[in-house]
Amino acid sequence: MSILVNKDTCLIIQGITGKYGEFYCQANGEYGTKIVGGTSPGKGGQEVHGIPVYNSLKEAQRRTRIDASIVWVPGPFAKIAVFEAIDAEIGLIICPVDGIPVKDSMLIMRKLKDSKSILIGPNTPGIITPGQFVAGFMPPHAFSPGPVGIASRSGTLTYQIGSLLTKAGVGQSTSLGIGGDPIVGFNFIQALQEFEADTDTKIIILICEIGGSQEEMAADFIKKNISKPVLCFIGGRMAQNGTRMGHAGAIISGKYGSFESKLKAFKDADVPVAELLTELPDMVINMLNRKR
Amino acid sequence: MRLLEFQVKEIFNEYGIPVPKALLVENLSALDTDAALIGDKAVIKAQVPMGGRGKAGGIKIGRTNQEIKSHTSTLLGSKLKEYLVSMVLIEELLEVSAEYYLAIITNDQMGLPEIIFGTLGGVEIEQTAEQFPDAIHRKMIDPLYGVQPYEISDLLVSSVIPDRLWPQMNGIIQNLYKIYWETDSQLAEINPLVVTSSGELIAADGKMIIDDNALFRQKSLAEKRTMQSYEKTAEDAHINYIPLSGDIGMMGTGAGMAMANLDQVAHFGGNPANFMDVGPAINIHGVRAGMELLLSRADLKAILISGYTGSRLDIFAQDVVDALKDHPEFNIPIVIRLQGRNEEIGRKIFEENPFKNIYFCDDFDKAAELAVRLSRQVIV
Repeated sequence: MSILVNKDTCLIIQGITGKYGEFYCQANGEYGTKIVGGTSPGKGGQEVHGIPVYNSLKEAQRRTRIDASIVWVPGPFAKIAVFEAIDAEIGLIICPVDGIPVKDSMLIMRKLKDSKSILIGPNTPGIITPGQFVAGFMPPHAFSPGPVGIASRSGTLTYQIGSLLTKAGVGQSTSLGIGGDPIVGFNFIQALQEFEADTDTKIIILICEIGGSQEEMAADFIKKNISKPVLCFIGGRMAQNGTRMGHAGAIISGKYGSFESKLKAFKDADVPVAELLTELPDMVINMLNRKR
Repeated sequence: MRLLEFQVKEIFNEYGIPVPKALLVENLSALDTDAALIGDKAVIKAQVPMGGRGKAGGIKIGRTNQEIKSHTSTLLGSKLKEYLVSMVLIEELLEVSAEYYLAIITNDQMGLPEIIFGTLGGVEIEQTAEQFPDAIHRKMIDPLYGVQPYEISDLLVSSVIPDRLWPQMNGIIQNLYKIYWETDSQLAEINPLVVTSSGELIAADGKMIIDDNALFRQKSLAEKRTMQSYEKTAEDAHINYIPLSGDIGMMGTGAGMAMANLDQVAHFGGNPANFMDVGPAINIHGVRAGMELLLSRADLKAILISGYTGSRLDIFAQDVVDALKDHPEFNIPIVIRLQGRNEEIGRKIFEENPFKNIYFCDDFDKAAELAVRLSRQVIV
């Protein structure tokens, strides 16, 4: 098992004829992801790496089953692409797009509220169930199948921790980035719920970051609802008040969203926090041994 | 993007939010001809994009023509923090009977616009929130429909402001929301919103932060932007660069990694000279421009390039090599730890183009530790 995606998940690529769509069609397809098609208005009938291109999602749905979509459309147009996916009732929408205006994100979330779709992102590195499915930037060789579920606010730190775990001989059930934007769809709490219900996941890792209040809410949720062990890392320890460190979400103002506030929340929930990312593999191994 | 006060007030004025009578001055001679427009009592305010201007000495009160002139002359050309004061806003001195706080912000957690109204104005809202939480009233707005009059009533009922101010307040809130929505603001704030002795509401100070991601459709606002040259370089290359005060130049892939790199350098006792995220994506010019920014700094003792990327390390390596070739004079140790997609091709590119003083390392921790150690070596 795994969460959200597996070897049977049928993926469509919105914006398949663009630079990113084309590159990751090949990269994700090579790994074994079941890519059933792509869309690009006005380019229906063409092929990209042997994958059929459709003019719209609705047109594609008449030809093939679609479980998930990945949006490779530039920021200014991404809202429309996500709207299309929501209207087509795609179950899982993955949005790696960076640079979506916040107002567009608000409208996306508003539309999502009235739908059954799950949106990962915007600004997510994607999702991987090792050995079965990858969509997005995730470099698959960093990951291997196993018992650790990872949800992260950072893409590159997800690859890093995946690779450290893999080297230490510990695989992962599913790894996903929830997205670096201040407003995102699928959040830590939903990820925790999914991992809790997944029989293959034995340990959950949260890669956290300063800014916002996701971590504080997740810590509270863990205390009340999660029986599996959770470990975490918090990036941005040394960021100064008010400085925006790249991720639009990673801004702290006043006490709100600070490193200390998040650390305290996790301590209160008995969730161990690694000081260095590299400490996590040993912590995971110790915990797995203890469970046995 | 943060607008300057006078720019904010131009927008307020355009949308029908009352602002004080004012004169924008870039040189003293303008005062001789136009001062009469303001009166002989005025507030003189430096136009710089920073908070805490008052405390930093950027806001002064002049009670005679002579005082107005001398304050203006002191402020013009002075420096507040890193900002040179090239413009001063001279405003009529208001007779204040009460001060409120009003803002429309984006509530990230909810993904909705939110009105914040405080019955204590003139101080930072964070401070009020801590000391007098009861003075703050909030209301989430549905972005599909915008702010409705009854929502404003709900907000005002709980805030006990005088009834006679309701019609004016209603208009100001509606208009501020309109500004927030139409200009892609992240924050549109009036602080203080002053009640004058004659019972008028006036926006005595204003702050607006425009969403950088929306500047492509806010062209007239984008034109108002003033940037330092490094900001321009970084923006053109789509990278994120923030100078800091240390001596270890930093380059990372992805914001999370870049942040973790800073934390690590600090953990091992070093001082990062900057934050830099060259992006996790295929960013052809990002690495090159990022290297130029680092190589042009004279205050570095070492550079740490550390990342794990799902993008293309072959392109990354070539960009680093090309930048170093352009700077044969560069003599500071560089530690490189790059892992991820096309790692082997990237390594080969580095092997084929050897430079002195480059250290390769495959370990996340050790790379940071090494950079810190090298930054402490005395280069003779």
